[in-house]
Amino acid sequence: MDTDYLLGLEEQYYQEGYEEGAQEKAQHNFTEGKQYGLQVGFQRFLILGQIQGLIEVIETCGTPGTSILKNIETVRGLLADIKMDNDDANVAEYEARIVKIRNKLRTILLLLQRQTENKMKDPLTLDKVEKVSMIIAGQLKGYVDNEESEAEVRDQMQDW
Amino acid sequence: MSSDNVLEDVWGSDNDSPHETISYDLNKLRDNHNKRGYLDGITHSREANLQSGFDEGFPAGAKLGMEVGKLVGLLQGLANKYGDQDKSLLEDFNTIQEDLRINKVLTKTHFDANLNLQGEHSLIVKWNAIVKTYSEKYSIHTGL
Repeated sequence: MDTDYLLGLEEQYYQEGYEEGAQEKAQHNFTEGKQYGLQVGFQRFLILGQIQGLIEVIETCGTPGTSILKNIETVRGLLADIKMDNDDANVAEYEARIVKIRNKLRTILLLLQRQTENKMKDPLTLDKVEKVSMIIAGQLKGYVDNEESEAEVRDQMQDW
Repeated sequence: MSSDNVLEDVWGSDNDSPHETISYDLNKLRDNHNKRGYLDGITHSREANLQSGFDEGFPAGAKLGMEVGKLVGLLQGLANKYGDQDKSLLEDFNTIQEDLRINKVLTKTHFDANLNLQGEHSLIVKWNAIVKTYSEKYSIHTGL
């Protein structure tokens, strides 16, 4: 038996093992990844939907001034064609936009507060908006910095 | 070659005739490389499958999050504005935060075995109707 023959055999045996290993739990791992993807997608886009709903109320209730309306248009534009997949470029775009959207909403809510001064006992703030988002979606794993909320995220994975 | 000899080729034997030693070594070679390949296969495919599963789940989760968020945002806006004079609106705003929590929306009962949504999500349908009623009551143009 020469060396080439043996090397060929080694390669063949390795490949056979590899195929078998790759098949093992393939579906299970795919499903596990999908559960996690569903969860993270939900967590990342909840706040955007929430802001979309809020600006519709702000726009049609009461009489928002022109600068509020202008800011609402900007937010709507930023929300309009946002890509909902995990492609690297789209995730980067999401990160850039959500910062702008948050800032715009903060401005809108402050303008609204000034406009309706004294009439609102309990004005809406960005803080309140984000608090509700947190109640519904839990904390994003990527941003978790204490064990308690990490456990919360894991609990959701077990709810499946 | 008798059938006994064939079996000895497979399993090896204590008899160390040159022929059988080679068979034994080949089996050992096979075991080693098979095992190495198997472990690599598991590791590599685990990562690849987790990732492709994640990439498939993410947009579906994003869509659900967006839908839930919109309903919650509409109710939060309305509750903030009219809640002090509309108790049921305020109650519904509290209830929606329980009812549409991530762990109630993302449960197996709403999905098939491949984790695809089965038709429309019943909780979202339910709250869509409730929020629509309030939107009409307070003349919000939502497209619901």
